[in-house]
Amino acid sequence: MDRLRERDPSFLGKAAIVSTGYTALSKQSGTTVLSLATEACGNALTMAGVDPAEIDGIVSYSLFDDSVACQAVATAMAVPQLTYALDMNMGGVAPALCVMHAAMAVASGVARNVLVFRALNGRSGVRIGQTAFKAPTTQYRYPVGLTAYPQYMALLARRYMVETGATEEDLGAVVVAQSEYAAENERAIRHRRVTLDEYHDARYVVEPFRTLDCTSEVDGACAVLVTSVERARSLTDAPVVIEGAAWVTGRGSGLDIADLLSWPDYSRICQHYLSERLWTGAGLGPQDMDVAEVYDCFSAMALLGIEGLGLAERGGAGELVRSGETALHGRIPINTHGGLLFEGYLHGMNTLAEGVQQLQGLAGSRQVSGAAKCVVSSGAMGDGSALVLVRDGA
Amino acid sequence: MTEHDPAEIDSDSRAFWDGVARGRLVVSHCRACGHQLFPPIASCANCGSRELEPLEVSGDGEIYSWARVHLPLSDAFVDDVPYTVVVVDVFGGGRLFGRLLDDEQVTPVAGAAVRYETYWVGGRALPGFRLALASSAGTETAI
Repeated sequence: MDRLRERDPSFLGKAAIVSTGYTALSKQSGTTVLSLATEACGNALTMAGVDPAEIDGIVSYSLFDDSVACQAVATAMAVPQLTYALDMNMGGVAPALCVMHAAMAVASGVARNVLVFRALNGRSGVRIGQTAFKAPTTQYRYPVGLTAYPQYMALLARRYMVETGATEEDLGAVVVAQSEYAAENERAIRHRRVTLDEYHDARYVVEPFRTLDCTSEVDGACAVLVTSVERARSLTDAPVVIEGAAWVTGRGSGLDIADLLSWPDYSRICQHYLSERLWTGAGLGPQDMDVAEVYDCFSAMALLGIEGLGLAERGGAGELVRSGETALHGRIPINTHGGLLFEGYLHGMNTLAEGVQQLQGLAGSRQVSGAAKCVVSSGAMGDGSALVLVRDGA
Repeated sequence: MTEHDPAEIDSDSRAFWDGVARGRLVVSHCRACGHQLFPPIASCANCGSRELEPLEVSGDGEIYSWARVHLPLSDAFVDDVPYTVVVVDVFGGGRLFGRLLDDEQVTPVAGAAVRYETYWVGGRALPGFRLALASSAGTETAI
């Protein structure tokens, strides 16, 4: 990377992630969302050796009012004053966008040390999979029985399969491949290997999705700390520089969380639409990545994301996964935490944090040897975001 | 089939729901660019014009995608499973969701011809589709 080159957008290459913080992921946290948020943010600060008093920015996101305000977390952590706070009413499309906002705030000087978090009691509290959404066009889908997230995502998966020839075997391959990582991940709510036979024995939720094709809702929180590259170097040996970032809305977005009625093409999602801008901004391409963390609320969405980012050709993601190339010692390890499918549904904040951990060499038995460059994606609808992360000096 | 909560019919959608109650499919037509708009909203998603008018279309179309629900995720549909929702590209009328009204053992095929048909649940008219030809479906998908 030519550090003297004028970057476009200009904030790229100027901010870095210093640390990550997690709570346990569970089916019942037994505590409040505010407590979870504070714990995860506190863990990120402890890891970085940064005092809460130095925090001047917080960014977060929520869905169905399932979280707490950034200012509440600041208050709970005794942060004296924020100069930047952003509470976004968005789900899994937001994590990379949140980090992008933090990087913009840091690069512009609006804030110096910005926490980005996601916290929810997604299992014992508000369950996304069963919650009714209010929007102008929900009136067309609820009465006919299209009530929940897996159901309309199944419509995308089906059309993708029709157009590319992908099969349920390909979906199963994603599940089996990611389970290999999950078995090595103590955080994973599904902490086990799954065989293809087990996959086929799992019951359908909504065709083509079986239970194992669907993420597992959890209680928990996850946070990262963003600061300037210069400051990051004083805090850690392994700053993770935000070299690429993009957010996009595909055509027809926004009328409903299931805004599919207005989409021209169900077989392509946000990663496809943001890919060119992401890679051009980063000055890197998918072939340069050592590891990829691709949003996978459902197995099929990993395939669409992999292809959208250019990690495989159109219709080629299933073969990439089946060939073993996405496994730990493969050409491009993907979803090394087991994905949202296995680690749990922190709406992609954990997908992002896993990428950071890989580049910092903190992934334990799941560590990709020499991982220095990672692409992370957020979201599986027409709108979504992604980051290209590079270990400082790589 | 079980009754779901009444949809929140609004000024943008009234013509559509009135049409469904008459057994007809009514979309929104843009006078400025000629685009047929669904869902109907206050302005044309193709050109931004607010010069819109209701337009009745035949309701014939093709299946674009489909999902068969086995596990109900809303109490209103517990008695309905398994059921199939189809996304249909209606000729000259845009894309919309409806219930597939054929036997539940029928597996739809993308591209299969369907005809619009209103179905009723507890006094409420809702959009549905029926396969136009028995040969359009099989027990397996054609993919």
